Formats: sequence, C-alpha cells, structure tokens
Amino acid sequence: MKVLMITRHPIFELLGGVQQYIKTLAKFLERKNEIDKIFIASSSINLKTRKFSKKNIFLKLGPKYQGLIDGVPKAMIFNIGYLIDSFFTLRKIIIENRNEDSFIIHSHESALLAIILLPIKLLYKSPIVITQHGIGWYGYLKLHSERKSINIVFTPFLFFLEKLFFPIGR
Amino acid sequence: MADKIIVVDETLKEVFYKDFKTKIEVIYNPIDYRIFRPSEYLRRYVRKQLGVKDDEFLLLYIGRLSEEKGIKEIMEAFDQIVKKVRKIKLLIVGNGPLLRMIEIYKKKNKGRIIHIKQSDEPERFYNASDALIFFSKFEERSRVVPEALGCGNIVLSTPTNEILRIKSQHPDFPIFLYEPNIESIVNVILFAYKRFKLKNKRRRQFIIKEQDAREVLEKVFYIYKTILE
Repeated sequence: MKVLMITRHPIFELLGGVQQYIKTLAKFLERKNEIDKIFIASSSINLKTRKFSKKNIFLKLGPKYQGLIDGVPKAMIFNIGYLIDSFFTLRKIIIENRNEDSFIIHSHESALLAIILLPIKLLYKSPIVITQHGIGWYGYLKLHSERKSINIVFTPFLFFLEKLFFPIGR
Repeated sequence: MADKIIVVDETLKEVFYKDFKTKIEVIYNPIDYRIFRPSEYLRRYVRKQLGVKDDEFLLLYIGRLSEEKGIKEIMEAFDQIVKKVRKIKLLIVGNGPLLRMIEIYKKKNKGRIIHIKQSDEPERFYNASDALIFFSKFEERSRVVPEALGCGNIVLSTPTNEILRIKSQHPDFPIFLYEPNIESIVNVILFAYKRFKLKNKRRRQFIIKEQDAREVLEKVFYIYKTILE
C-alpha cells in the first residue's frame, strides 16, 4: 500500500496538531509491512526539513510561506499559484503511482485542498480520506469577519468553498 | 467527494454527522505516551536551562500566539498574578501574530515570563512545568491537554465539551476549569499555585487511553484497508 498524506498550507509552528498527527502517523505506518511508501506533501517550511521515516518522501506544495494577515497565511488567500502548483505536484505523484491498486490519499483539511482533490478524484478515482482538524476555514472566517479583518471580496469566496466541501462549519 | 471523513473529537462528529453519517469516523489525535511521560531528569535539566528554581511554580502555555488561543487573556491575568505571588513564572512556547504583545509583557515583567518560539521536543517543557493553561475559543480537544497530562501536569482549561467529556470519564485527573474571563483565570492559577506548594514531588502519568497512538493509528490503518477492499 502507498499512502499520500497531504497537509495544509504553510504551518509554521512546529507544535501544530496537524504536523504532530502526520509525524506520528508516518512513524507508525513505517513499521507496518503493508505500507511501501509514504508521500508527505506540504508547503510547510518545517515539514520539508524532516524525514519522518525511511519510507517517507517529502513533496513541496505551492509557494513558500509568505507571512500572515491576521493569523491567516497570505499564500492561502491570495496566491492562486499555490493551487496550480499543488495540483500539478499531486497529479505527478498520482500518475506515477496509479498502477498501484492500493494507493490512498489522506488529506488533512480543508476547503482549499478540497478544490485540488476534487479534479484528482474525478480524473484518477483515487480513494480519499479527509481528516478534519480543529475549526477549519469556517471558524477562521467567522472570527475574521466579526473583526472585519479579511478583504470582503475573499470572505464570501472562501465561505462558499467551505460550505461546498464541508457543508456544516462551526 | 471523500470516501471517509475522520474527525478528531465527538463534538466535531455531532457537527458533521447530519450530512455525512456513515462516512464519518471519530479518531482522536494520537499521543505517543512513550514520549509524553514524566521525567525527573528532564524536569531538573530544563528548569536549570530556563533559570527556574525548584521552589518556583512554572505555568506553561504552549501553542500559536493568536487571538483564538486566548493568549491575550492569559497575559492580562498573569500580569495581575505577578503582583500577588512571588514564586511564579510563565513559560510560553509558540510563535504567531501576537508575538509583539508577548515581548511587551516580557519586558514589563522582567524574569517572570520566558518565551521560546519553537521547539521540536515539547515534552521537555511539559516536564519542566507544573501546570498547563489551555484556553480555547474554537478548539475542543487540543492535543496539548493529553500531552500535558501524560507528563504529569495539572491542566487548567476553559470548559469545552471535550474537556468536560474527559473530566467526566476520568474524574481523578487533575483538570481544573475556569471561565474565559480574567478574574476566573487569575483565580484558577492561584488555586493551582497553592496546590503545587502542597503536592508530592513524584509525578504521576495520566493517560487518556482512547488517544494512545498505538490504538488510534491502528484505527487509521484499518480505515485505509477497508476503503481499498
């Protein structure tokens, strides 16, 4: 079995729940004889420097961390390049491994990743598991829209994505 | 689109259940209790590194420095505490948009606030500390709570659904609740400080079995297998 784990956009703190989850999961999967290879795809500056296991291959997703706007990474909001780059990186891996009948994608949230995964699912029919950590985009948007700190053009757009892929937010 | 949706706590399941039903599975964040366990060696070594004396109470905040994590309220409360109690220090481990605010408080309360931006080994700081303070505006079952309990810390927390769930399942665990306001934070810290002065030196590990990495990750693997079959 080959597993492709995808984590979200630039996470810069080493202690983040998603990173810890992936780290522990990768170490565990390494010990399973049934797992041949673990791909970890992320734009995180921290994840890329780490080899979690011998079977783990790190893939760089999208542009690197570009700073925050009220806690939200800029790359998530403004950089369409992130999505295009991420899509082609994942596509390459899936094409290279699609002959494997046991290839699984495990994505760690959220709406933005979902819009990359949707065409991948339609094109290559890869099984997908999504892990919803914490609050997701809906929570972020609620917080930021209350403070009116997100550009009004982007708020409904991201809200729409969240509603589309994770119909009930928090 | 997804074949399976994993949520990391029961509260999230309740939120998503209506739409996803059978697709949804609760799998808690895995905690490796071989790493998160009490260590007297780490306690002594890290406290020495940080300049914290044996008889000083070390309160720990670990996480992103952002508004939703309640760090503003914690800093304000600690500002009041230092005027009341001498032998208490606050260790902050994390980075984020409110970094500047931390620096201001650090200057103001010289020597009482220690800040570390990043760390690969959070178990060092849990072991050095006496109590973890967790404040959540959105998060339900943060991993810092079981990690801190694993290292034998007292946990001070806002009453999220998941914290209440842990508390009811493990009534003997040292989890103390406070309301999300400054006065309540001050009171709970003072309570923990008094308890610290009385407590035994030897620390006990508090394990939330359903978050034990070995059990949790077997479940993830099982999900992979069933989907592929």
